[in-house]
Amino acid sequence: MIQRHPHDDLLLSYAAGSLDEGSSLIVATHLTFCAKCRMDVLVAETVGGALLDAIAPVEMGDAADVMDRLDEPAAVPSRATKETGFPRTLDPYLPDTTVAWRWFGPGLHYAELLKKGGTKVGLLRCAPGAEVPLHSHRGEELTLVLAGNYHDGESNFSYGDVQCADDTLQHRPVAHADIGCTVLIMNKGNLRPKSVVARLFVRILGM
Amino acid sequence: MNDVAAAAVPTPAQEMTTLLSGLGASRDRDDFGRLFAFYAPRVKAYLMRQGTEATVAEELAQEAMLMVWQKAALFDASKASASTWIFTIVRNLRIDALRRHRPAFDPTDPMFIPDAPPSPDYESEYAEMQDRIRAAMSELPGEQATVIRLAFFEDKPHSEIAAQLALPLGTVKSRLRLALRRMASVLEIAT
Ligand SMILES: [Zn+2]
Repeated sequence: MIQRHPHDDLLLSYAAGSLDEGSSLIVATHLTFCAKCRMDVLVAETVGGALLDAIAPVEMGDAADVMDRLDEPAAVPSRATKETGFPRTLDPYLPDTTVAWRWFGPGLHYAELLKKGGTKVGLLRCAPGAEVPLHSHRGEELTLVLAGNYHDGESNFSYGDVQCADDTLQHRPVAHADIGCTVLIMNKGNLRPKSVVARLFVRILGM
Repeated sequence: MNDVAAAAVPTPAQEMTTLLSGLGASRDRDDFGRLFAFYAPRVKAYLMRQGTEATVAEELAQEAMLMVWQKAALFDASKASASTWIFTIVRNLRIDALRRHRPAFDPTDPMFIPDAPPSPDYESEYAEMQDRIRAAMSELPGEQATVIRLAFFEDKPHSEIAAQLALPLGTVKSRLRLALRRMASVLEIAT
């Protein structure tokens, strides 16, 4: 049972179409698992629909051009799916074969999926009991659990849960002692490491 | 009346939902013409409101309406109104036109977790849901209605909306959260 959801402002911007790609990837993947948030997105889309039908219409050419095209065959989006073991939202960002994990810290492996502007999204695989060094954030960080679970000193995060962190949060997540965890992680801006080890870690991560 | 409150008032759009529901089976060009006459000028206006230049907005509005025709058989009035469904088509088309990407979940994904069967204390008929959501929209406090309008029309990150309103980012986010919570909560039927 999912306990932790993306904040409502993210769901709203996702519905409006203004949320950046990296955050949208976290939200869309969570929606694969979460009927509650799918409902919230539908509520926000209903607002979009209501704004659309209430807007003052503007001068528009007649339907003739479109009428002439009604017999055109519709473009069928090609959707080749991959057998990656990850949700399909990640397909466009994953290699066709195996995920190229790279080591970056004791018990930690990372695979970058997206890097655009100041935003990075990747998969982080944590061995049982692995610890992500204490850090705080300059920008937002969103973490979605895809397997196992972790504890950040305050709460536990398991399958499908999303943790939203901003520049006020300092945390040191620890993967479950027996099963570890794999998370999809998005961050904006640079992490602020709190120790020498953490600075080294951040440098390795290239974050 | 601000436009968020105005949008809450029912419009001929309900009739459009009925028309669109039949279109997938009927392939009736006159019905499509009526949908076009109602939506195309609004879609164009919406796109222009978001900063799309008029001629581009007109072309995108035409593309959106062509998609409405092509995808009509997929429309399900128990899950959306015509306006909501067309809103999502326009949103996605515009994002494509801007060469941006908006990941979306795939309901045929083997990892997809379907909705639980509708609970008796939760509204599940879309038409009824929509009435409640619109009613809640009309009652949003002005400051929440303002951030909602900006979130839909301005296509800006929350940080820029905050700068524009000279408000702290946290205030903008919390107004958006309160607004969505308020509208979503009306779907739970009071017992
Ligand atoms: Zn959720």
